[in-house]
Amino acid sequence: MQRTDINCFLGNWPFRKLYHSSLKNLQDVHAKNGITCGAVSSLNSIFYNDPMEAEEELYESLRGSPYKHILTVNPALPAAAQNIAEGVEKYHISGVRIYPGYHAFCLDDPCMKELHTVLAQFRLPLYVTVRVEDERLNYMITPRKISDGEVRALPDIMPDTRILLTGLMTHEAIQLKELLNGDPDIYAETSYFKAPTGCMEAALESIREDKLIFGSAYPLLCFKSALLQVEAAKIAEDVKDRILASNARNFLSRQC
Amino acid sequence: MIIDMHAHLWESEAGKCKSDILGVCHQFNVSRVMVSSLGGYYPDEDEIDRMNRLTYEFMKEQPGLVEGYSYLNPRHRSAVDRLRHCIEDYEMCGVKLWVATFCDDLLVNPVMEQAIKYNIPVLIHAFHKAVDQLEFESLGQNVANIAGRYPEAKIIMAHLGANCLRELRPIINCLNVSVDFSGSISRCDDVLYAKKLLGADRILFGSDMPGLSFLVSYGQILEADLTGEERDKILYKNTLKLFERS
Repeated sequence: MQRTDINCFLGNWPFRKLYHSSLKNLQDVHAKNGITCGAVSSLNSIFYNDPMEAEEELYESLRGSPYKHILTVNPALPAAAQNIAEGVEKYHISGVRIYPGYHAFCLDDPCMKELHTVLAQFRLPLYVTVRVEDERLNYMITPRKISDGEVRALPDIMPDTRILLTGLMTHEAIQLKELLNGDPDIYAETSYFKAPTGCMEAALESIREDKLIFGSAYPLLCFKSALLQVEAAKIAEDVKDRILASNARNFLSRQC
Repeated sequence: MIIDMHAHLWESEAGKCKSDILGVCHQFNVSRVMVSSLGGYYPDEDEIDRMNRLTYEFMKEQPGLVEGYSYLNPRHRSAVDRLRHCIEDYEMCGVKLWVATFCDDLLVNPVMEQAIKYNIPVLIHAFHKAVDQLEFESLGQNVANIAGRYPEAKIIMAHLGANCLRELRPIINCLNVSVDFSGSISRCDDVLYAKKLLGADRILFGSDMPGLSFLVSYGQILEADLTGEERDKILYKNTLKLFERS
């Protein structure tokens, strides 16, 4: 089983120093914990007005590694579709990521229609970032809060697009159980599953085991804390394998 | 060895809390867990009594494993009497202050003075939030103020103040203040940052379970760039030393 970290980053976070932000740091923490594959996004891309400058850096960093490149776009910028096409051609991207909280657009804005068209054209999955930083730790910027209703409307806005919801807390994921269980294309990532004790077990009481994918949000969050939520959970080993390995493979490789 | 010096029983689901805490202690070989019982933000005297009785019952059910904090509302005139009862009759090990007052409110003085007489630590909830800060929720500066007022007091600032980048600098020079990194904030570098500012001798291991997963803090201590001795200090040695009353 190829254990995968579906949600990790390279780059800088403008609000604090990251002590483990290099590719080597990421490779080391993954190797130490038996992770052989990962899908990496650029933190710099969130904040650069031309995110492609950060994507080029990410591509150079990841070249020759087993990591998959997830391209960040701001769909409200004029060249978003062009950026994705360029990402496919030059950077061999495995997915596209959006930050409606930081880029202040709504999931039902017209720009999402255009994004849907280009994702369908290239058969790419979409990461919808619900949360990067715990909002209690916000400094200088207050990202827009993504509402439940917006997320629930995603299948209508993005039909037949595989979507990964990243940064959901356990209770938020459970609240979306009908969406996650009912729509074959919607998945949830686990980096913010922190509460309460037994949160992974609680999530699996409501959410299908094939719809949860392990992610760490490293190096923003502690990798080991996220991994232990799966490894130490009182759940069957084959369910752990799904969350740590096969669900990610299905999400990243299954074409629409 | 692991000592979890920050755990809770929540009144609304005390039975489940006990079961979760015992399950974690068994699964991860936690040798000792220090518990306070909590209910509402602004407890009256009856609620304080119920909470401390709940903690005491858990101590009696699990001798050697569970120790208790005396939970107090400094607004109550009876706070010092209740502290005496908890320490002398219930044999609790410390004081827990939550969000009923800022910790540097003058109302807290009698509690601090009695805690000094008993030579017991005072665990202070400190939590900066960019959103939804509670009216009397203490911050690092509040902790620094009370620590400066009572330099002989043994104070623990919980949760690294939540946002350690903001809340640790005020207490750097308060050598009578230790910190725990319990809670839901599990940024990758927070333990390392706390060590850089305060040193490993001032950091304690706590989880805030069962409302929060024990694994959050446990993962942080396993992952942090620490020597074996530093890790042992944080996992139990610092706590043993701080709670030593002789």
